[in-house]
Amino acid sequence: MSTLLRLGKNILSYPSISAFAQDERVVRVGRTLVSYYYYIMPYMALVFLTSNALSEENFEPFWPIAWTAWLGLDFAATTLTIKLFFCLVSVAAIFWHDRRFMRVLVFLALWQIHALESSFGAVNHQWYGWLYTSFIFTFLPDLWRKESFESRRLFLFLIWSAQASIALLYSLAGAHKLLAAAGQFVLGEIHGFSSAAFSYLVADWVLKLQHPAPLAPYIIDYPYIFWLPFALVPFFQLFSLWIMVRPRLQKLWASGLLLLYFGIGLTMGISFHPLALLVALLFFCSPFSAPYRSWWEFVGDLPIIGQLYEYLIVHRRKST
Amino acid sequence: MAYRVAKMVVLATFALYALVAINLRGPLQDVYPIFSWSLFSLIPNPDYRFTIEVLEARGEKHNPPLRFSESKALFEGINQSPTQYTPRINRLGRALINNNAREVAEARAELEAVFGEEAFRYQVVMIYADPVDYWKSGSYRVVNILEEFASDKQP
Repeated sequence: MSTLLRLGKNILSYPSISAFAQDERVVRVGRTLVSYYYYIMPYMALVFLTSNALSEENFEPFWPIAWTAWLGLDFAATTLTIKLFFCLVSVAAIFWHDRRFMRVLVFLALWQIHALESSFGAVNHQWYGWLYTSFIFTFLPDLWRKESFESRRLFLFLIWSAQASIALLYSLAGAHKLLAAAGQFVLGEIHGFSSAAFSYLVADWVLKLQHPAPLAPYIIDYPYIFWLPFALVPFFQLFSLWIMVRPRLQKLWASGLLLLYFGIGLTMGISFHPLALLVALLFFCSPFSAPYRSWWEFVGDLPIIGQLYEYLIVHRRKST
Repeated sequence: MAYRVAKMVVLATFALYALVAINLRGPLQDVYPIFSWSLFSLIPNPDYRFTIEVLEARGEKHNPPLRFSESKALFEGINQSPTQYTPRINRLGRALINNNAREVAEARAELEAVFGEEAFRYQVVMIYADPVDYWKSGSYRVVNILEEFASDKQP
């Protein structure tokens, strides 16, 4: 029982932010990560500027941009104002992201442009991750001018929180997939673990989206070839939050998520590139990630497998 | 903001987010700014579903009717994906089945907005479709033509 309790405590103990805050390298990498986040903001502005020429006919202003109606701005003026605001702020943020007011402006600009993009009948979900991260970063302490242990600790914790806000989304996606698979299994339907599931999913989405997807014909004809990776996706996503308590897995996990995006693009023709870029940035440039010294350390960090491995070691030690 | 306070606020927010998101099912997947993240969760099975077939749009008559799944070109003018209109079509189909006139009017207005000031004539149909068969053969079984509509902007 005590072994199980110890293991449980071990699982729940997330990395000590206090210990990280004493490490100069970690703090430096954290600062670099925040800078990179704002350095690529003009690129995101460019994405918004060039992606859509949305039409006025379907324009139903989403509530965060209701102020444009109060000011009497028409569609063209609304679009121009918000896009211009985001462009200017994103460029200014390259130089002044160390100032809180600048980070608040970036969040406001992103919030406004996301609301504009979501004013055509459906909320644009791709940008939620950017919104959450920008919001969390507005609370970053001023580590660029005044450093203390407390401010370092808060700084690193907020970076951890931004990463965790993204990991949470993937865990939720995995949880929904598993719940849906269980529900469809009970109803006797084709479910997430059926051998034909992938072909049904791809056929339906390719028809819905009417996008070209290079691998779609092969998946539809030979779904069983890709059955194993497809069936593992929900588990892989579900355990995304695990990388927040075992941060050395972050780069590997992020690589897996990027592979997943490549897979979705090739099989269904759907692009998630804003979210993929954010995943790459937050986890490949993570201050908490460190290399493994041995394979056993890596195995010990894996969810379930690692806990079993750890349990076996503890059990063997106790018995000797 | 103290570290301990931040920790409590962040963890409580995440817990609340997860609680709300996991309970968001069906067509209502957003409680802005929370999204369920239920993406590709349900495997589409062979089933009855609603769709539209376009009889006239953008000044062009279609005979045989243009299937919604082949209508992407109609949406290119407004830079939108036809997928975004699937929930509206489902809403219209359900409203017709339930004889809910108010709901029909609202769903029509949403759907027809895509064509702006141009003439648009279409029929709402209930079909039985197996996604894989449909993809391979390009055909589905029309169970019932529920209604034919012409937008208010007819010349």
